[in-house]
Amino acid sequence: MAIDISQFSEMFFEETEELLADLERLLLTVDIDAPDIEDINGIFRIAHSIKGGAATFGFSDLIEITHVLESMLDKIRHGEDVFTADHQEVLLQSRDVLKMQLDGLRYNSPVDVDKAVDIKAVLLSMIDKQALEPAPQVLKAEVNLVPEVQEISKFSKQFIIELPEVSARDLESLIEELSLLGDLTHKQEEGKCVILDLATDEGVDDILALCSFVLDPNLVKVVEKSAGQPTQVVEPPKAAPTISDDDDSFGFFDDPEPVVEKPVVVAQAEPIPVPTPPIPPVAAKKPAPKVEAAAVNTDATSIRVSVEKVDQLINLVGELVITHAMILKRAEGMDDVLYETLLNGITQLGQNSRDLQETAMSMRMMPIDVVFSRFPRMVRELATKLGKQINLVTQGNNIELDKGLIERIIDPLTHLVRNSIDHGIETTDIRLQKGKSELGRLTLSATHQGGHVLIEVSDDGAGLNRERILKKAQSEGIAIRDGMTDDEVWQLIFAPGFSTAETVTDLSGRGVGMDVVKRNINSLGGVVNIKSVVGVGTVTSVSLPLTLAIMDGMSVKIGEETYILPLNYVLESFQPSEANLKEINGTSSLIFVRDRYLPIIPLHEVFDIEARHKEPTSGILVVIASDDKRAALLVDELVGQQQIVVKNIESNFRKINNISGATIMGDGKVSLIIDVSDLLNSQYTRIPL
Amino acid sequence: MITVLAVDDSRSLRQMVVFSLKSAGYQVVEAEDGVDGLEQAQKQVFDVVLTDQNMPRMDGLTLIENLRALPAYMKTPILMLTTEAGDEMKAKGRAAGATGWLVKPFDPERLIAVVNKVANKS
Repeated sequence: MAIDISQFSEMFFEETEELLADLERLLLTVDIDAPDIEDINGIFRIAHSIKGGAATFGFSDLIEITHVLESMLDKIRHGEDVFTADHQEVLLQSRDVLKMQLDGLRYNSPVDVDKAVDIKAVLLSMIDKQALEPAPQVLKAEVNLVPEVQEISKFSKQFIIELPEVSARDLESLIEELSLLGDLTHKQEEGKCVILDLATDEGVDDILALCSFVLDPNLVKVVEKSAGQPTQVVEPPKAAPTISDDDDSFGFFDDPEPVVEKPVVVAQAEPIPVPTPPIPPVAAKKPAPKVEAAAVNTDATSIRVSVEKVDQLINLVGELVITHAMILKRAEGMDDVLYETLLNGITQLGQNSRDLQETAMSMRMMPIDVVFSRFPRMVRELATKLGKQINLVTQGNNIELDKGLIERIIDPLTHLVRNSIDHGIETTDIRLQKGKSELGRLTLSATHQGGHVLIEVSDDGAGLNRERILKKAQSEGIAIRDGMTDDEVWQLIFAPGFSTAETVTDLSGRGVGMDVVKRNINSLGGVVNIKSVVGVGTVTSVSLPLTLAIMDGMSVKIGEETYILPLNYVLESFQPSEANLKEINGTSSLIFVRDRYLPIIPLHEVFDIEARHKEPTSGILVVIASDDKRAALLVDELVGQQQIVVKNIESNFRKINNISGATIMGDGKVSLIIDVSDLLNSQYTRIPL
Repeated sequence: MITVLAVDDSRSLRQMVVFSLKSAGYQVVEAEDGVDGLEQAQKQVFDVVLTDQNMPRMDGLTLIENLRALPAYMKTPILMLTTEAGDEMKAKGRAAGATGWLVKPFDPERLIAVVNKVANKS
């Protein structure tokens, strides 16, 4: 029977990925001056586990480095070497190489072989090469490690036969005779005694009778095995490859004999000694003090499901919600009394499908820690490079976000953290001059806020310099005016091409990016804000929706078409009066709302469809806002608000201007979702002067 | 059906052990470290125990010592799955009360063969 071990590879990859993340976390938290032995053990165990798995599943690349790491760490954990910052650094580098190798194996991503060779050389130089045992070889599936295949014993009884000293000729004939009774194995010879294993259906008497042909049956000891444990004989394993005894990859100890022996016949005068197992010490050596380890326990009660399956489920549940809405619409106007049970059933169905939807959505949620855990390493490295001392604190690591959002928030957040380290927190000298603690503080936090998650990156650095930002904006040709509020000034940072860093570093780049950060966050339906006080610090907050798959929408009608506006962009809607309208160049219209002129975007023009109302005064204006931009959309009619399940168009068709997706309405018709940021950045908001 | 307790902190290795032994007709329960293994062993009496050595919270040797102290496990075959099988480790295993050892990496067939051997003995 061949078992294909490649089927376990994916699990090994996932596990190794997690182990490498743990490794990094441990390495970054370990106290160099007084490393906790539990931390060192943990680090050792990770190297050990990866090596063991890699050897089993046949990934020899990963063995090379983990093997040397293991040797190095083993010495440290046994007190033969002292853990230093050098170890920490080289371990971190090794982790990166292992990650690269792992990704190479898993995703066929490029692997820099030189890097692996280099790090191995460094590692080897750190340990006594003589002490290094040869690395284990990977298993090769095609090699048959089972030298002989024997039929499993079909006999009901197992005996151990102990013979006194006999001549070789007698033994041979005895073995020949006994073989006729069943399966006989010549087990071992202890001194002059011969011990045979016999599996047979015959009884003790038969064995003794046979032996009596050759020798005195009173000198033969026959012991039946496992008679008291019938369950273990009832169902023998199906496949029974055997193993040769000269193989040293496994073995059995003899003295703590685990075999349950039941003496059946004692043909000797003295009693047979019944083997007694040693009484082992009771207490565990280690009390298992680490708290983190307890969290691992959840693993046993969770299963791994592919994201595709979850998405499929969410999609189907979405359809169910829509189907319910359709039934509900059909049932409108039905007689309450006549159809009471049916209508109650529909209500119940609605409740259940919403609960189901919520549960399905929660399956896509991941803790934000997945993102946060990337930062300790980055902060450490940047801080070291820049000669700053930074203490990173993360809060709300358990707050959950949709997987899709998690993946897409990493880059913007990385940028914000880099900015804080590079431009925010001052160097140690300057901090001391300013009377601040030399240890800068950088906090990453996540909190729930209504239907949103608020992620904040805050530092106790220099804060934003209002004058410098204004000066820079002016020189870059970005529009500024007198009496701008601080908030308005901070928003200038998000303008394309803006940078105030006097020295361009390779860390935060050249100031390009904050506009990209903002755009990326906006595309996730999020908002980014800055609060800053000179000399005290800066807080950049990112507010994100919990999920991208469901949103609250306002449905609006233009002619025969229904469009969805994401509700979080909608400020207000009203029917304008003639007096508040202003025409520019005879083509574009502006509307005066709350002390501000807003461009009017006629949606029927944008989508090139027939509308009932082409004049603002007869239609309805919906004010939308994103970032600092606002506009009024001209529509025929407001239909209502509802939760919608977002369906991606791009993945099935292509990107359509001003449309972010589609949804299926209660009546089964498809409605397009308007891309508000797209629209606000379109030509319709540019006023020809 | 013969029941086996498989203790290993590596999920993938555990998965392989479980799959292999199940395909050979054993019933297998998993545990992720010594502490978990000891708990499982107290909930249900297993016919065979396989344990990794290096695990968080409680290592294999300690688990074996603890199991041997339980009346139900005084004679149960307990195998150590270990990457090192030097004399020192063997001596430790023997002292703790292990029945035998199997060196990692091993392939599924070998695991089955070794388990068959101890299961049939008992």
